[in-house]
Amino acid sequence: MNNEKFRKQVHRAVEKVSPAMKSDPFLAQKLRVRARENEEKTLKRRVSAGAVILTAFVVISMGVGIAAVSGWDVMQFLYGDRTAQQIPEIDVFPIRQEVSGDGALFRVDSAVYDGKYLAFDWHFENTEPETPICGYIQKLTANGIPVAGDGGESFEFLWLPSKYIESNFWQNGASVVLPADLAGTETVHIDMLVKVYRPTCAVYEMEKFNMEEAVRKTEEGYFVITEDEGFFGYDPYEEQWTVSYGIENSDGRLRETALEISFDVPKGENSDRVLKPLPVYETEHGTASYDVAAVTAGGLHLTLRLHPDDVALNGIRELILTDGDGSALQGDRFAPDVALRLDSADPGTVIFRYRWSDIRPKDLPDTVSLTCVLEDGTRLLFPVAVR
Amino acid sequence: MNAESGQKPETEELFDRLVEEYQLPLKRLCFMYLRDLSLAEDAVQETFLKVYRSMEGFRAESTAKTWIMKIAVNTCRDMLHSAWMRHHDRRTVPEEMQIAAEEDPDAEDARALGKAILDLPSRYKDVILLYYYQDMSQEEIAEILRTSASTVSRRLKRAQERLRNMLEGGREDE
Repeated sequence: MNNEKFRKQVHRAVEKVSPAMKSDPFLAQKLRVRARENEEKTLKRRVSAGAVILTAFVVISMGVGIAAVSGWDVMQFLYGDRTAQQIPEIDVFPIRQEVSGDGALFRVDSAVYDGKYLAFDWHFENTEPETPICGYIQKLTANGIPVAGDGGESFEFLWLPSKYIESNFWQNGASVVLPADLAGTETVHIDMLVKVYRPTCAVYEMEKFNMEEAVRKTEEGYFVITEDEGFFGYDPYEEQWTVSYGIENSDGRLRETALEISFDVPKGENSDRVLKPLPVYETEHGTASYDVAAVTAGGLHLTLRLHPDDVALNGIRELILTDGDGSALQGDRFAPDVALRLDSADPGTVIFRYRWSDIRPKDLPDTVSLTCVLEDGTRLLFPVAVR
Repeated sequence: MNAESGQKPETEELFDRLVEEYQLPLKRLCFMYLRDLSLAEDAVQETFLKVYRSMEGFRAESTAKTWIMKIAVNTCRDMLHSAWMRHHDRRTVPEEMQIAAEEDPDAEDARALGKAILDLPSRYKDVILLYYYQDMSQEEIAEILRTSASTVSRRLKRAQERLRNMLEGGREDE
């Protein structure tokens, strides 16, 4: 493939699938303010989050046999050792299913599902590690509909074990955005098909690829593994022996095993709480409505769309989270993590997108408002009922 | 010295320049990982906040671009891992995008390639986007991904194979 030609094609392709974007000339200024405001808050949060994570893992590991052995579950997949962010209240559903065949084992320990997003962990292991294996998730369906994971660190064609992965297992998980048809389904049925490949002849693993050595060892009957991934195989496109990755280059020297695993994940109780704003708020300076008003496991989300009638609503000093009477909600958790002013395609419309990651429903009064404070101190309330 | 932030004015000027120069390329890169403009904007903000907080420690051992891209890629991966909890499914599916009247016969090919790149596993998407879209060298990418240049080279090759297979009608073994 011609490099320069392909580079131009990639540029064009990226632009083709990306929406129109423009720069925010005030971004640097806004970020400096945010960085200063959040400096102390972040430090405090790091300390408290550590304690929360510890508690979460203690609770989850109790009574979960497989997780206790491997120490790997969906919470670890989702949050790992992160300490800068609080773990939200999530209902973790135990799965504890495993399948095995030809010395390969695939296990799912636990899952979470909130009506729209589903995540689960997986553990892939070579139980006969004297010969390395590789594999990949060929099929992942939710209620029969193909879904993609997050495309994260797939284990495909990483040899287990190898110089790159010295252990004989690989742990990760999948985050799945359910198709619109399935959103809200009470229970999601997951089917997975994992293809596993094991060389049928003696393996020779090269520390660093060397063509002469690869040819010689292949002629001697070895299946040559090249560094961390790939193998020495015949590429029908290039019509030559080369470092290969697709199984079609294996020339029948890989034995395939299919592992199938299925499980159900019920919707957790701690899922979205969609708030109920008014369809339109009338003020003396214009109208407003909420595009988004929800409390989720990821915090409070409010996106306010303003249609100013006069300059007053353009001269907003600040937006604050208040109760239904306009009193600002006090405390670290009420400082927003996202505070964006977005230009709308609709002229004369301004959109404010706010998110508070640490807020849970129990933290909120019965009514909240993303309240605009105008230059003259006037507060315009847009109350939303929480309960 | 800026009393409020404790940072030197020249550091702030540098920050302003970095935001101005890399804001849009970063937004496009983050979009290709996250498939959602709003999430991409969050990722860009998060990236620059991390840049701002660690500017004093930046020793110019790598280029500013490499440094920023490394932070952005890690930020996107982090967000992808916790994507399940971002309840507002605003991820853009290429089929749903508004396509202008296509007079250019290559437009459909470009769109197909774009969709294939979006669908690549992230370790292949990493190298394709950084090498061909951000015009970075294999050595710079190796630094960003904390791997060797030879691994980057292999992944580029494999990513191209995957793209070719995807564009020719799906994976060879399906």
